[in-house]
Amino acid sequence: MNILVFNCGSSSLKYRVIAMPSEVQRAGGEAQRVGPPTAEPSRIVYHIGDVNGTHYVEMRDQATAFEQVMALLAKHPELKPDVVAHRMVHGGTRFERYALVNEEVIADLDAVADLAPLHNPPATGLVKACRARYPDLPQIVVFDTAYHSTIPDYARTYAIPRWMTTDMGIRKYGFHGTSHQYVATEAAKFLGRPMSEFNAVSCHLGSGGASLCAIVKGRSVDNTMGYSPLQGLIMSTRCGDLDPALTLRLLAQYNGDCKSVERVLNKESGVLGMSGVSADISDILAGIAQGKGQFPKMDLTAQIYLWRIRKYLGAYMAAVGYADAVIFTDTIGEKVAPVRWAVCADMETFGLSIDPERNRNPSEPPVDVATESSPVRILVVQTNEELAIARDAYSLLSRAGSFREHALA
Amino acid sequence: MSILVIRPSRYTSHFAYFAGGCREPILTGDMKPLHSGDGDETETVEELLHIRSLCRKRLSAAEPDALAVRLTFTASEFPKPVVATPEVIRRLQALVPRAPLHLPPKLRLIEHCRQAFPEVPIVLVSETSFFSGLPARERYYGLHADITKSLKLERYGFHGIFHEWACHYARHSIRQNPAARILSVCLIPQPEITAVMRSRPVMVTGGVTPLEGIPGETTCGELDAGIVLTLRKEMGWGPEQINNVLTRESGLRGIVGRDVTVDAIFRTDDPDVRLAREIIQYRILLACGAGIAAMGGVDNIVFSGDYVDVGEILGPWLSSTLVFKGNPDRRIPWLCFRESLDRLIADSAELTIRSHLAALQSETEWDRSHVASGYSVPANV
Repeated sequence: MNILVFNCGSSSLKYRVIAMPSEVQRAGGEAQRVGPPTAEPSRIVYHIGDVNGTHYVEMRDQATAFEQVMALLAKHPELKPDVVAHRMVHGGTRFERYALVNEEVIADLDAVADLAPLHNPPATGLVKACRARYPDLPQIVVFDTAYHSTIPDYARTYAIPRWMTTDMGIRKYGFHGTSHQYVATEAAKFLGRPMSEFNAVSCHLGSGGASLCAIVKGRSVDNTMGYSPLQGLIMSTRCGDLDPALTLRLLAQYNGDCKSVERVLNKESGVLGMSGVSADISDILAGIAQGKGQFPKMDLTAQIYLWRIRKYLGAYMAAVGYADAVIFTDTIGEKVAPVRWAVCADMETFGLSIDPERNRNPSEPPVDVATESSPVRILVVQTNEELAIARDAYSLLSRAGSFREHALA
Repeated sequence: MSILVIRPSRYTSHFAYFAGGCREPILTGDMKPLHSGDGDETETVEELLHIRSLCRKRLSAAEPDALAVRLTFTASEFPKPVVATPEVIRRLQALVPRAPLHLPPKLRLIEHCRQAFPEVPIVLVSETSFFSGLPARERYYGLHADITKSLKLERYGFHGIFHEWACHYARHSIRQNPAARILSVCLIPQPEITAVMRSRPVMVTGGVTPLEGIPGETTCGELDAGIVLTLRKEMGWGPEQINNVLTRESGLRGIVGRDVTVDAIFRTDDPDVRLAREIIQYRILLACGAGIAAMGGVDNIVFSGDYVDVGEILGPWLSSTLVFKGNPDRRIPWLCFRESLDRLIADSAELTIRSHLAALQSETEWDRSHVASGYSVPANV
């Protein structure tokens, strides 16, 4: 069975064709610079088997990008998808883990669009475009919030009036669940531990978003992101944790205009806002290493960014108790050794001892960069959200024999 | 040294009078709250004159040796308590734009104190002084550098008096270790946790305001910024209205649906408050974990504050919960510091006056432990 997985970003569309249950990736790629024209042309960077290529084509929205990806795949009949699976960032209270798409599900997706204004609307648009163009093709949506549905009440409830939680759905949802679940599963396999007994702190440090997840017995028990993807760590352009009074102060400053404050907190803060140089922490660290550390903003940005991760790692080590491992994943977590070092050094109290040489020159992931004697392992694991989504979709289909009828209802 | 402590607030101002050598006050009471605007405050001066006459009756017509006025916010301006000289008042006035509702009534009160006690030195003891050396990595938020600078958005911490004295007590009580890494848990209606290394705080749960951090009896604590924006969009509320809900209708009151104290949730089996207790306990655990990471370890946990007795419940729990692979048998020692805020303010003022006098007389600086020598060491250490 071919499962075509879409991972829809605000200006990109990643896709993979994965044969299940063998988990062989048969094709994949990314439509880049989707939307209004930019300095560089829109294109699809793809691979089919071992062949790589780039297809330049104008893509004004996600629906056009979807059409172009389908046209590319149509040239190879063996890649014809049997089912399409979509990553959806926020499922709100209406969705648990995944859902087979029908009219009711689409209405519910529209209802949760505002919960992740940068991510949910384009992904829902893609689901609709796919359903209109290929009405017979079953679709499944897998929610990033799903893995965090096991976060206990005491960790997901904010200390606000109860009616806000019950009537408005204001609570912690958590994000990057697909990635955290995937790397935790791979890490447990790597260490030869059953997932049901595996305790860890997973650090998904992306070039855009970032979050930590506390995992007990294989289940998420906390995530640094909250009601929205704004809370928690400092990210490329997002602020992370803020004093609520500070958000109010910004609202007053912008005469109550939410859109302006949203823009400031989502797009003009974080590494970019603090440094004024780059949204990528690896640029900042490289700059400091090259002796540009005399620029106080770069130095301060690196300190604040790393300090926040370190504090949350300590907090979640306390929440987890006897952790088996700390896992680093995604662009920064996998590739930027100084981040792992700064976060894990001098943390012997928690049972963490990082090996400087292994950390500096790790072999291909999954790899352990802790010292031999470290009671808690420090693992670098490559995330693969698309494969995780394909696994979820396959698992759903295996259980729902009559999915096609159900999907077309 | 006899010290009259005044703790002004928007709701009820409080005073306590300590005679020299006494740990307990010989006179306490409440005053009318301060005006936030420019109202007639002759009543305040009259109240202070009345307090003065009460003090004189208690101590053979003598004036207090000093007045100690507690301030809840002075940013990072004064690392230590200060005598209210004209220069200090000028510096306080310069801080007014950063706390326009908070500081003007306090400045007026200081002036009224001067009128009512013209011969008595006034010492200002601020809750934010202890945090003036907070490292930049902890002090700043992940906001655009221009916004941080123009709005002067920095983290402070708001219960420095309890923390400073509790940490001092912990350092001296346990093996006289001045380099000890201490987690200080201040148990008050709005609990606050700080991590202190070599007498310097390196992490604190309080923020730009006391709203951030551990939820309080009516305050929300940490909150996703997206929630504030959702309340604005969906409820149509303005910043003032949202602030009111987050500071007065949230926290334990919001979760439980009625007024309940931090102390009470730890002393009842009432299922209605179970979730509230679990939330507070979990947030305290997370903050302790963050503090340990900030210090690279921990030597002691010390509890202080109005609800210090809750430390007898939290201490054993934290000690047995903050256990990690590789150190499974290690239990973090904990202790409770039971002095009242009034007494600590008086002690701070006494030290300040003595060192002020010593400096004037070119004498050596007074040692804080001289004042602290009256504290007893608890049995559990």
